[in-house]
Amino acid sequence: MADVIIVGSGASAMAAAWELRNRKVLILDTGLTPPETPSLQKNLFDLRQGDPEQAEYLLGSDFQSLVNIQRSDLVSVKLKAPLIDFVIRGLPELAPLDAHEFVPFISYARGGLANAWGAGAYRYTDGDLEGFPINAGDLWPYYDELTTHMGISGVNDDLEPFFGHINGLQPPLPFNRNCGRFYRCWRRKKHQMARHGIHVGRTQLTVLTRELDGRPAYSGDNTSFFTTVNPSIYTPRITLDRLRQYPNIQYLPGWLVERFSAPGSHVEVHARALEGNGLRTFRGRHLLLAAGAINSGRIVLRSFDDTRTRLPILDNPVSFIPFVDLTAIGAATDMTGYEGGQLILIYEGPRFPGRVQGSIYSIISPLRSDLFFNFPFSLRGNLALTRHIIPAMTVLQLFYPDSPREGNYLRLGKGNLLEIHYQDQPKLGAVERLLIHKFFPWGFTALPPLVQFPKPGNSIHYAGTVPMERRDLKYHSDRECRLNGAPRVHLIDGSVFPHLPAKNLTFTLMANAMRVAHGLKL
Amino acid sequence: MNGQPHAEPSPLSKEGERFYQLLFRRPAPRQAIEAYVRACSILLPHLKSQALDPLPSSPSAIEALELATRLLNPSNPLTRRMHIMLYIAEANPGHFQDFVPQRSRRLCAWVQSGGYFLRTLGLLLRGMLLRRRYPLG
Repeated sequence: MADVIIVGSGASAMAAAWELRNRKVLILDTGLTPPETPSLQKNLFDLRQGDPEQAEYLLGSDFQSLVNIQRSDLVSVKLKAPLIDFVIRGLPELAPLDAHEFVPFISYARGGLANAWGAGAYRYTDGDLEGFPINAGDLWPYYDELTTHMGISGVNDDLEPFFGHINGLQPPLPFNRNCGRFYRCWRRKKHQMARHGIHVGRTQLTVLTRELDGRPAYSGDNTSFFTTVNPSIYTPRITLDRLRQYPNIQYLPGWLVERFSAPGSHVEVHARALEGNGLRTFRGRHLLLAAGAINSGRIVLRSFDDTRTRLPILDNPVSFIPFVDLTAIGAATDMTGYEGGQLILIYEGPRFPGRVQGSIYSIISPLRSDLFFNFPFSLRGNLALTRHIIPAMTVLQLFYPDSPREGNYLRLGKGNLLEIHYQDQPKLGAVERLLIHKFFPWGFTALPPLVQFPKPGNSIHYAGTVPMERRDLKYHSDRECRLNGAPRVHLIDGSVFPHLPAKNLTFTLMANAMRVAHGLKL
Repeated sequence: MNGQPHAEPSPLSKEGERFYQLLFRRPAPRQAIEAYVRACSILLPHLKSQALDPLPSSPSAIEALELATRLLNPSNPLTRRMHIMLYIAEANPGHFQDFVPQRSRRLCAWVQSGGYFLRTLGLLLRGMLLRRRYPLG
């Protein structure tokens, strides 16, 4: 019997497993993997200039990357790439889902959704954890340990009051051209902007700028929109590969966990094989559920055969503001600058109740065809705009906080169909209009009608299905993330967040998973 | 040369050739046309891989029709097919410079964009008239 069974191999599962690496651990995972293809080892633009086989990894042998031609509700251009789409490949027969007003991105992949994450690592402060039964001091040692384990580049700057002072950072990545100019503009006006509640600083990224444990520093290859294999950028698969060298860690892919039972002295986990459909029961002293907020909620409901209860669901509402830097129209493409978010924007003011956080990035590597019809000209005109405007574009992606609302829930229906309803959404737009107005004098222009407000679900930050609370309620968990009524079952993913700050939750759910794993009485 | 008569290109191949010519002002390579035919059959199976018919004969008229139709219905079949051809071209190293500028040409960019703005207005008027004869959705 294992000391601990961990369900899943995503960010929080791997953080907990790393903490428990000297224990007897069984990791049960669906574990879907990408197709076998050569990894992209060069700069993307070198490949695109010379590789006659590039359609294989840009479009896919069956043109799977062109899925947006049929579906307009998909916003992420990254998750449709042929070597990345395995991250969100569903299991509709084994884990059926019916979503209303919600676009769910659920991962059954080895490494989970963080295979394709934005690599931002943000610490929660006591303000962010208001309403949680834990505080920042509970998480801080684990943030530090993860910083050492994963490798985080960045710098302590004007955003320190929002993220805390962080030790052990690698030097920040050099700016790409557009983010660099935006930051210089900001520095000149930062006191004036702060009076309007607008703060900007550099992103802390799990992207190496120095070699770490055999992983190289980032080379500026810009392939992360087309492959999940880049050892400079942390993904949970890096931890999994290290854990598999420990003889006491057993990783079993190909199993979909359906339910658990907790007879008292141990936990039984009932899983279905992806191949052959057979059922098997695994036993352990403790169970750590890290299947993602939605699937962990599903497993909990199925374990109690409950088709009546509604579990809350949280999701950060999102908007995208496409800015064009007028001084960069017609500029050459920045082919070696880092393509992910390099700047963080915080808004705290009267336009929205609660802190809003944004990520600022340049458009470097996506296919231009993905954006072609966002321009309003004729075909030949759009071809010219694609060349002239895209190198000058900077996108601000804003995330808003979320709290439980009556119309937003998931429920187990007949035939184990999981229904997701997301009907209550906040009204957005005021913050976007303010930012467009404030950045216009710097030459960064955007038009309010071009701001996109994707359907709920597109943040891919889900939480709150089995929240941790101080009160002893059914389908809630305590401060050790123990499921009430099942003390050997712990939830260690986003499901335990009682509310969702605008700040990306991944780094915090990893730290929390380590905290829970550390506190297990083994 | 195997002595066999050349097969007549399918209507979908001809359509691909016209779209490519419209977008890039040069003859379409064989691989691009083959990829276009295959992509249409995979991505638009409900259209049974048939060519859009009728379409205007001149490239600028097709461009005008596409623009006017797109404004009213962004996911109309003509725009979708043009989109497929764009993706196929972009994933070919020969088209790298059509999409990714390697040299700075700031003045040219402003002048060209202004010119295309005026051209777009003209095409939009023409497209609105063409839509009566070629309703594409």
